[in-house]
Amino acid sequence: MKPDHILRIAVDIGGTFTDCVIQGDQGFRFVAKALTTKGDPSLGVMHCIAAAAERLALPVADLLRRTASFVHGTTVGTNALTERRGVRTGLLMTRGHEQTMIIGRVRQKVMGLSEREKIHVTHLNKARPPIIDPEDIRPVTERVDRDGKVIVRLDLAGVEKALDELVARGITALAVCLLWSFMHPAHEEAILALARRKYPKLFVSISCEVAPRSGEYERVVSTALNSYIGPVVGDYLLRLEQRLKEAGLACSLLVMQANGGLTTVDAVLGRPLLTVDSGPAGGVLGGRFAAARIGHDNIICADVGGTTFDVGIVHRGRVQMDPEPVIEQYAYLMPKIFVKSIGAGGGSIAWVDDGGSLRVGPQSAGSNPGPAAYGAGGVEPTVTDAHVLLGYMTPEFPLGGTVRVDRERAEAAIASVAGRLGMSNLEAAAAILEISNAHMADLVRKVTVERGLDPRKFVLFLYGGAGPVFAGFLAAQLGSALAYVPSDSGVFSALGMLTSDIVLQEERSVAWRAPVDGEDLAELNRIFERVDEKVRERFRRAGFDIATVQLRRTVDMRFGMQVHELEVDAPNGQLTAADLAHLAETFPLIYEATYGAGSAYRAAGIDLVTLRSIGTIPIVRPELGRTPARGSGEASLIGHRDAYFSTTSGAVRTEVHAGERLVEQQVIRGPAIIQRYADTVVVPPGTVLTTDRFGGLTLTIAVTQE
Amino acid sequence: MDMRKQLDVVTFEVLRHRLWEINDEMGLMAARISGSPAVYESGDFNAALLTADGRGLFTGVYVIRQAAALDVMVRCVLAEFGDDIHDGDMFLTNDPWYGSLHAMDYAVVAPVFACDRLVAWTGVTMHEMDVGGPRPGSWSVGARNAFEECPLMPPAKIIDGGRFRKDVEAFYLRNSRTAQVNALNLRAKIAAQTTTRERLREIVAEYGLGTFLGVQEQIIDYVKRSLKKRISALPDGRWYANTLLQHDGVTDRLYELKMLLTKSGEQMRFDFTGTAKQALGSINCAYSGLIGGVTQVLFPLLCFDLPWSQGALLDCIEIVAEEGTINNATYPAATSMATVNASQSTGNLVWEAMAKLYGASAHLRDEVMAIGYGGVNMAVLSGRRRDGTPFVNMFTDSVGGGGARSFADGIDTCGNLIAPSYGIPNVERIEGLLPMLYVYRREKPDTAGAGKYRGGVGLEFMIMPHGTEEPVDAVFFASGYDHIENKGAAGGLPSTVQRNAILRGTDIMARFAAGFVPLDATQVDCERIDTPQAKDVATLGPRDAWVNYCAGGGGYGDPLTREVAAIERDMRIGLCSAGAAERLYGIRLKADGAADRDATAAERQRRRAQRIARGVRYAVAPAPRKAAGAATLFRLGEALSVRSLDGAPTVVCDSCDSVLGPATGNPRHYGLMIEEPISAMAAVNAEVPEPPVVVREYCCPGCGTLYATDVQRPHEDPWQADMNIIFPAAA
Repeated sequence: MKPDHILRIAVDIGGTFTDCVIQGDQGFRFVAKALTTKGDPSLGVMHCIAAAAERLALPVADLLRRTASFVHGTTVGTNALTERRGVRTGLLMTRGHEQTMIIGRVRQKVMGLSEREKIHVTHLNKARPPIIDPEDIRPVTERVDRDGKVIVRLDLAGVEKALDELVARGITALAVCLLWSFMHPAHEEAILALARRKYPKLFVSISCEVAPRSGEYERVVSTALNSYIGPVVGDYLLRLEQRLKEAGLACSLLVMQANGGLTTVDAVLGRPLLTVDSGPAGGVLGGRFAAARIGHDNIICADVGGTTFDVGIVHRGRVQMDPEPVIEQYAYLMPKIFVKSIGAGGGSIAWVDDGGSLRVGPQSAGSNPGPAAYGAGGVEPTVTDAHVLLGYMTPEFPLGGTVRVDRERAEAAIASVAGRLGMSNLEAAAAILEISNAHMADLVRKVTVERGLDPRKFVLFLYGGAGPVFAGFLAAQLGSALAYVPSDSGVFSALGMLTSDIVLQEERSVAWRAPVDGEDLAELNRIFERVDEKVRERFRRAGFDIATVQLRRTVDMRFGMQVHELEVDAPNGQLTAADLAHLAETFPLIYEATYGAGSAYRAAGIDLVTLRSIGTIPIVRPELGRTPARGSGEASLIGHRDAYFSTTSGAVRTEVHAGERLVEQQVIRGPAIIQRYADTVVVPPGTVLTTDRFGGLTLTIAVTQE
Repeated sequence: MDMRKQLDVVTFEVLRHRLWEINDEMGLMAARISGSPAVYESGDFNAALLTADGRGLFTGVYVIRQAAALDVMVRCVLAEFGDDIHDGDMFLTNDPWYGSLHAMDYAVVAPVFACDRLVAWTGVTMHEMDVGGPRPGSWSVGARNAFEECPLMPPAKIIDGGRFRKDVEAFYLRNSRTAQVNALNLRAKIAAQTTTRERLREIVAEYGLGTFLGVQEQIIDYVKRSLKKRISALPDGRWYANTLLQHDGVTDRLYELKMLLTKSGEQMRFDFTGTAKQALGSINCAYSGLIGGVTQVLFPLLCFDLPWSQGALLDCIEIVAEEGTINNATYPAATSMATVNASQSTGNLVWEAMAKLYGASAHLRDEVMAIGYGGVNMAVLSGRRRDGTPFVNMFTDSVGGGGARSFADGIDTCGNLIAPSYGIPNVERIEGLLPMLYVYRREKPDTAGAGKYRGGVGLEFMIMPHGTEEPVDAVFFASGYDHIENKGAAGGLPSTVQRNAILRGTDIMARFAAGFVPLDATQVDCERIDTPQAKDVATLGPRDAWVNYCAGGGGYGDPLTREVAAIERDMRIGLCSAGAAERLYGIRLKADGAADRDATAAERQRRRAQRIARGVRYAVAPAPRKAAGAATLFRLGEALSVRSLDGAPTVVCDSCDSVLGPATGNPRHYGLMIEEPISAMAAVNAEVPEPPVVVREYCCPGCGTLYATDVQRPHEDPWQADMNIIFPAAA
């Protein structure tokens, strides 16, 4: 690294490791890892930076001073929700409707559950424990109707009494959600002002700021989740920012949002919900970016770890969003990149059920005890054990230089199911692998087919610790012609975060039926101006030069009597009746493209539902690192070993290549195994691997006969 | 020639998973394309994959009975059309004698051809908001036969060899008040099945026809094998259940449904002999509703970790019902209210009997659930929006509580568990669509059945016209208002009744203006209160309000054994009033509102003694005898166990070790029976002017612990058959 290199750093916190990617402005890239520190994750971040600095032989202060942007993905908010470690939160809601969050639209008992969990009907429950204790909910006397007209005036004295009670009960955060507040925010704003005045330390969220959208259940959930995690996320980010500044960081800390944009710490402090479930966003963004570099715009992003398999979609270069995000059985309103997960991965456990059928997962050995082959006490057979037995992973190449697989233990574990099935151990291992591949393929088919997309027309991007070993098999199962494994696949999510822009957005629900003209159009223009201004204000408060902000507007529309809302781009500036007519013409086209030909229900009329303004400050994209031609052309072939493939009926002599010795445009025909520092890429027979100048590996799958 | 191929274990598991996912996707895809609130938000639809001969392979997790009846439909189409079924055909029907549950469930079933032969079927059904007939919403209150209801369409080819039949569609839509949504839903059903057909053909192309046919048989065999194993591990015996339905839409009278479950070895027999003859009005269900009524409960209870394969399930059970009865009605009976009446009640009988059977099982005690939301209390409102356009809307937010479980309370505002994915719309959604305003929508206190574990509470809402001077028409179709359907299990008490009320000429707007939001009907002044009958029609004027609430779930186990802390919490969060805590649970309160533990313990002891003093016996009391130390064979419900006493299986009370009697007999015969009016259970029950039912409780003569309860008519024999366990003949 040259002294004049300007650095960009991304830090991603995982369950076990905190990963750090340092990217220079001329393709230089460096990766470091440290153990995640559960109690205060900001320590792990500092350890990781220190480790990087040490390996670069630089003082930490120098490293940070040269850093032009520092991007961070935090799971603090997500973990606070899933582990119920948020703060005690009180809830105020319109009298007569204060149980909305508990009733949970009745469907809360199945929201976000797998089919397997749903069919165990006698054991369903609503979210347990609830994020807000029902005893910490108080009604607010007030009522606004759908036109935003006050029909019961706000009883602020009653609110004050309720607030005193809740504070006396020990709440440290408050959520306020009133019916139709997005049409008439004054009541919520008055409560906010009262709470700020009386209890300045209380963390308060009001629904017309967190999610000014129609649908009181999802809105109250959003507001409650926001307050519940607010102080936890805020404390963490401020502490991290403080530590980094003290250590020499001169630029501002940017935080990854679940919508795929970056934002500032300040912007997250009031709206920590933006970071919830942002973990998988980095990988999908990285996928989109890397795919564009190699000329693809339809990709399926699959992140395979030890316990979960996450799938996201990029279609025509656009990251697919999740219209109905759910966390912990709570449906909420927040723009979020679509990622669907199932329990599948290297740790998935194979078992034989009562009917004598071989099953794989969803139970997982996780990272503790982990697969039997890791020798950490696991005895049940896992997918990783199958990989070991089949010869894809060997003790000679410890993963990440440390984890040495134990073939005997793997074989003993597999033997326990093989015996019950009357199979040889190898056959059982191949069977486990095939079933686990099929489950992953089913998930990929599900998320594409239900959107009317054909998975065979997509390139499959595989990353995460366990992704590369599955790549060739999974692509073959899906009938995809191409699979792509990026270099540094283990830290691909962190890398992806460096490819995002700073994005802040504001929105407001409305209720108009097209055509919109006259006074309604004037009102629409006024609202758009206010929403634009709110976005600019957010940037201003975060210390950005608002001259660099690019504003983009969208309108969510839906057919009357129908539920699906879709985003349509709208022009900036004063909108005319003609502009609105154009929106109404565009919407059915987008609708049919999303839900299928014939699904548009024009006769029902078109409703305008939400106005949104999205502000973006583009940041400099990293140059993907070229593979340094290390070892001056030293041959990558480092040996052979026996590996077993279901298509070869028996073990075959398989080439083993060292990943770091591969050169650009190298071609390797399967069967072959690429041993990399942190993972293993398997090239099945009939599959051809080529390398590109970014260090990525493309697997071209032999076309199977139809 | 049998082309079915025996599959290896890997191919089987791979294809089993893939077909399951394909079925799930078919339902989701249809719902997504439909996008209508009833289908997409409420989940009132279902989908199924079936074998070439019409046996259900997979059923979706939506309204279970809808898919369960698709078997009947496909077999009817096969029988009717024979060799006139071709590649590219799709059939449309809403006829209950061809497998639809009632006229509103318009289904499309489609044959799947591959390699020039029929290899499978698919089916998607959705509840349509209106399909014509005398009442908006098509719940034909007042109809006396099929001719007075909505038109029925026996299976017709809506797609004939790939060609869409506009004439068939036109006939269908011509009769509906909501033609546009119906048209869209029809396209959704067709589009989802077109995609699914392609996906199934891909499997045939990839794996071969023999494998595709073979895997279907193997899935059914696999589920059958697992089910038989599960069933044979249950005790043999007979379990009885009965329930009532009120009002047939024409006359306000009660109908009784009865069932005898006989479990013997690997087989279960559900015999409905003795059930009331078919009714004059629309509450009947045809054979489709009977089958769906049984399997809608057996899928959740028996197949909680198995694929929901109707073909396999039907091979393990036998369903017996006389023709011409209320749940096996013959044409031209009126059936438009079948789903929430005879079919739902059929399910209630199965919940009741299965809870008793599982209560005697060693392994499935955790699956015991009292009846929840057994009654249905819904309405359709129709009228004009402010812009003059007409609306028809079924209020799906009439939901009750879940039944209590052997390990936990029932789910509050749970909804009907035969439709696990059912959801209710947001208030803002309904207010945005209709000229109506919700005064409140909340959990209703004291609606749950009491017990060691209580049932979940039901939901209550009050709504009124808002922003319109036009009258709003209402059609009510509850399964009953005066009796109680959610019985308790293992000594738990039943829930409350469910009701509707129309408050005429209210002062709600004045109260709003004065800064007051009413939270129940007593907080509103009005000119008069009309109580509709269980099936009824009414018109709401601009100053009228409609109040609707549904019952909670039945309780589990003796309420006097409920943890005091749990009751205190229910009181704090407003789900249990102080009066109910005192009355049902024997709670004694201190001045600060907390429970007085010592006084409560004493009060509970006094209540038990009172039961012993008040209870009546079936027969002459045998000499009291204790069975401490005798080996327990298995538990029976919550309070009893079957122990081996002098070599004979004997029912013994677990709290006091009193010997009750031989385990081959009816345990109710060994206890003391206390009869209570339903008004003693809950304040709302007291609003029923002449309750047709009483609650009968059966307690241990030694310690007064409740081990069984029932809801019966006063003239019924309290000692009627309940259960007989059959022990293997002594070796």
